[in-house]
Amino acid sequence: MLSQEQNDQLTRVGPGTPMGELLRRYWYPIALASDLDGFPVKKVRLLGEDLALWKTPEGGYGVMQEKCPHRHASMAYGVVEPGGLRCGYHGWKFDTAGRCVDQPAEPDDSTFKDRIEGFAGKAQELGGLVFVYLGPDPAPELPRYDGFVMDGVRDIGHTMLPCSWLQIMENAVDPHHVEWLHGNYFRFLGEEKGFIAPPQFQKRHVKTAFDLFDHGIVKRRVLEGQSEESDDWRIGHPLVFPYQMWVGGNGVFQMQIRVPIDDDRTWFMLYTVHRPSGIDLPEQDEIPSYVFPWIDEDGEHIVDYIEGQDIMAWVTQGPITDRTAEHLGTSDVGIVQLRKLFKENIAAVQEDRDPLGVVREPHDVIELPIEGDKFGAGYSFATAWIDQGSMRYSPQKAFLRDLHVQAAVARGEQVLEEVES
Amino acid sequence: MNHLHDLPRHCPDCGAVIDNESGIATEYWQADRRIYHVWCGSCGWAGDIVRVRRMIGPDSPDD
Ligand code: FES
Ligand SMILES: [Fe+2]
Ligand SMILES: [Zn+2]
Repeated sequence: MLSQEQNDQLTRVGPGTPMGELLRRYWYPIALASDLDGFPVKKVRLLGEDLALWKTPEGGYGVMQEKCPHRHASMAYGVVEPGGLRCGYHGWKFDTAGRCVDQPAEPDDSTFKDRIEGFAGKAQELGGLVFVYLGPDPAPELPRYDGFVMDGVRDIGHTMLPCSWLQIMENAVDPHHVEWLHGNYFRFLGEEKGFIAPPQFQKRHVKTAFDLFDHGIVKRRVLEGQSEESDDWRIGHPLVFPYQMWVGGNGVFQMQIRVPIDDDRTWFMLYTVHRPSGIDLPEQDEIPSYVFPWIDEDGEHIVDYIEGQDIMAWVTQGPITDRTAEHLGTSDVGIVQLRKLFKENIAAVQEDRDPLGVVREPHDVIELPIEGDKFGAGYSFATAWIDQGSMRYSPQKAFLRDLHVQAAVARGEQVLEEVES
Repeated sequence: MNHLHDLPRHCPDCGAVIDNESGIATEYWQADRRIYHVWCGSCGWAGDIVRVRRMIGPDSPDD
């Protein structure tokens, strides 16, 4: 339980709010690179601010306030030109630093444009995503987390959710929900509706731990039948502060990305890289992307897949959950720690220090801890994830599944299904 | 029960006010123990504050 003021502070992300100022110290993916390859300018929203994002003819990216500083028409309906974005209404042109570089309707000798500046952020591409930074200069490095740079077969599923990103982040330090939501509830649903829920998730948690590291919190667990020698305890996997989680195992690697669009809207993306060992990985010309559904035609949550269950739990808490009326227990200590971590880092920004996970050193890759063998489940962990997670909606689902089965065969693992080849 | 009435308002170490501006107190439960996990943003003190109604000691093993 928290006071109302604390709940407000932790969930408000707009400009000038303490949490908003903290969150502005990080880069966020806000579009797929392929979106802008189709058409080079797009309206986006991030941390409560409307923006125009464009791909420059030079191959870079620009992001600026959506409203033209002249008379506020949308720059998202602008003209992309070498050297900047030109407003569609009267032709004022802005470069990627937000400087007004042309006002065609003003006299040639006018210096008016030199006094006009729009707000501009920074934008760059990594791993097929366009990342944006809206904070103060100098901008930190865009962290090249291994998922965005590693070789493998990529798959991007995404959707917009009507709830606060913080609800989703609290779920990332809540290991117990796995055995209940994805274990017990899934099993119940399977029994009622006549399908077999994945048994991997039904194992009970014996203990959990949360350790701070340079990029967030490493989450560890020991499940029934496991020892402290298991990867789930020895290695664990991290919440990547402040808005991501890195999960995987058995040849699947996934960055779960929760972009705060508004106080109560989150762009949820599952950025997955498949690289089972034992086979050569095929080249990809482009990364398949798709929106996965979570509401059916009757307006009910779709809960017969893993992320649909998570989304049900996040969204039914309400747009911003009332933390003055919650009841936390000892299994919620990860959440208690996460809130404290946010407060510590809000304070760091107020004291002009870099908060947790801000990277200043140029680098090739940042490796994050991740389990190799997950829940002791073998390759079936990967196929169950594809069959009964959001990837079941992927246009390349059958291909992904096949990849893991073929690799398991090549590794000499016992494979319980028919292999087509 | 009004859970907000005894929310810790001051740091046990430095005495600074624990509010939105500096620090956080989060209530959680361990069986019937109602615990506030407190972090003081002024001095960095972090710990649990528990309301105790009746103190019970352990049995002496020699009895
Ligand atoms: S048991 Fe946790 S939300 Fe209901
Ligand atoms: Fe989950
Ligand atoms: Zn103090």
